Amino acid sequence: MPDPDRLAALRDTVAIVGVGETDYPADYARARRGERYQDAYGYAAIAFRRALNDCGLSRNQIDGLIAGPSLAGERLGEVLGMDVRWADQADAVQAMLKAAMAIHTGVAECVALVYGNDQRTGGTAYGGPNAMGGDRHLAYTYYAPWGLTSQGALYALLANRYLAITGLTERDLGQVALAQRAFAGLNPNAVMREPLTMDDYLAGRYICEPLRLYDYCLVNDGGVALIVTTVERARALNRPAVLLRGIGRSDHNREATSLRPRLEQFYRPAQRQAAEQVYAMAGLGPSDVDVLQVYDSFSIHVPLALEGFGFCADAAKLLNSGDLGPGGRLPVNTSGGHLSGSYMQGWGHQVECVRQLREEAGDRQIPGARTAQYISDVAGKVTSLIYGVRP
Amino acid sequence: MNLFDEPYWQYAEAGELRLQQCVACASFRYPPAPICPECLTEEHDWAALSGQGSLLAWTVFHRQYFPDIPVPYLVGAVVTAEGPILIGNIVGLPAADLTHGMPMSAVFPPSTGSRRLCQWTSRSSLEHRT
Repeated sequence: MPDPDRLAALRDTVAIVGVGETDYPADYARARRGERYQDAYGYAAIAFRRALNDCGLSRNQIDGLIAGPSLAGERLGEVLGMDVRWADQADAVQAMLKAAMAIHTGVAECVALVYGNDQRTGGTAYGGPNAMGGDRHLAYTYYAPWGLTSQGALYALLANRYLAITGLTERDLGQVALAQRAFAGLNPNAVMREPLTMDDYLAGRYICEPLRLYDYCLVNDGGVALIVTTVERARALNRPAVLLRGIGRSDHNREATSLRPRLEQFYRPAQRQAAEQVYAMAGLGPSDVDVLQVYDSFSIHVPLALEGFGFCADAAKLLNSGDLGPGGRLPVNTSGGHLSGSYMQGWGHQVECVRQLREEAGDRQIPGARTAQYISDVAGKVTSLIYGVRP
Repeated sequence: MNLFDEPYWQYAEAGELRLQQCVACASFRYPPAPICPECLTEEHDWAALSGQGSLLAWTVFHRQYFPDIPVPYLVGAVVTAEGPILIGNIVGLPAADLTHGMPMSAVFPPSTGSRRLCQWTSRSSLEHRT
């Protein structure tokens, strides 16, 4: 059974001190021109160099390395010229949790979390007979004889039922895309910055009905890196430290391929478990959150997260209130998210939490942001992290 | 296709809908699996299903992912009377006529591709035809 006291002992002991990202719009433009400028390791390395510069640590002070997809840890260490005491591989869901555990146990003191992806120029397939992730999520490929494939189609099935049950409309869902595009317009490092209207959204072609083009994430190249260390070490760096205040995790895989938890429960039991844990550890609740980042491979993730984590009972009202966009009470995906900012598979969302809490987010800065929450639910694998700064 | 799928497809070729059923606890396994996820028993039969169910959700594909499957096409998830959820194409009626929970029946149209598929149609349209 979870011991809240053990978890709470980890609160505010680990800090993010450095962040780095690549130049998403420039790299997207290159890709559109057919140029291959970097591979996944190259993007990762550029982001890592920027994260090091950001925190002021030198490379030889980093003693832990976590390689994110689509990188192999051994090769990443070679590319970055790093020998470390401890190394691991993790997606965004697990990376911060693993880094915190490694630092807490003492196997590493300064951990670099490094992600790179050349999914656009490398032509990663997210649907079809060999869809990425089909080895872990059988449903991405198993129903190929009937033409059912892709994470998007599975969320379209979910949306079909969710809309019918909740009364949420396609127009309501469009508010997610509009709000995030409005934030992207304020972020010079977002890929899609031109304004999006409801008419534009509704005129967008269906990919898998009821999900349209603007309900889907981008597919672009890039890299993200974060440097995480002890709060004591962070203090000595003379940089604003962002503290990890809460961790929630839940992993529901029973009957995953049959889609029962997806279509009958919308993954709510998994979300509830993760929510209880993250809020208990942080000693906070949804009303304390100043900035929310939601893993958004599809727009539908946002209402699911808002309801599943207790921000509202009925997402339609909140989506239409304007509160999720610039100037609203509960700003969501303030960099533009995966839909309009950059599809870095949840890694960019961590960086955005840091930038908002450091008040370095420029035109999209949420004034006085002290608490930022990240929520990720991909196919029943739920994580939430709460970050904060000392008042 | 995994190691345990072959019998499913052999039955489908013969127009039969059969799924793995645990001999110890009678739970169904779908997709086919090495062991019962309820009681961790290996032994199983291939039990015939009634072919009746209700429509849980559907989507219309507008983007083409497979060269041999032209768009648009309709994919549905059906909760069978026995419990397992099965995926299939919905045939014999357009998306506009679908409602959540509508009774569905399994059909095995003649094979057009490499395999004969278990598909689903509304029970009323099937009764209308026969």
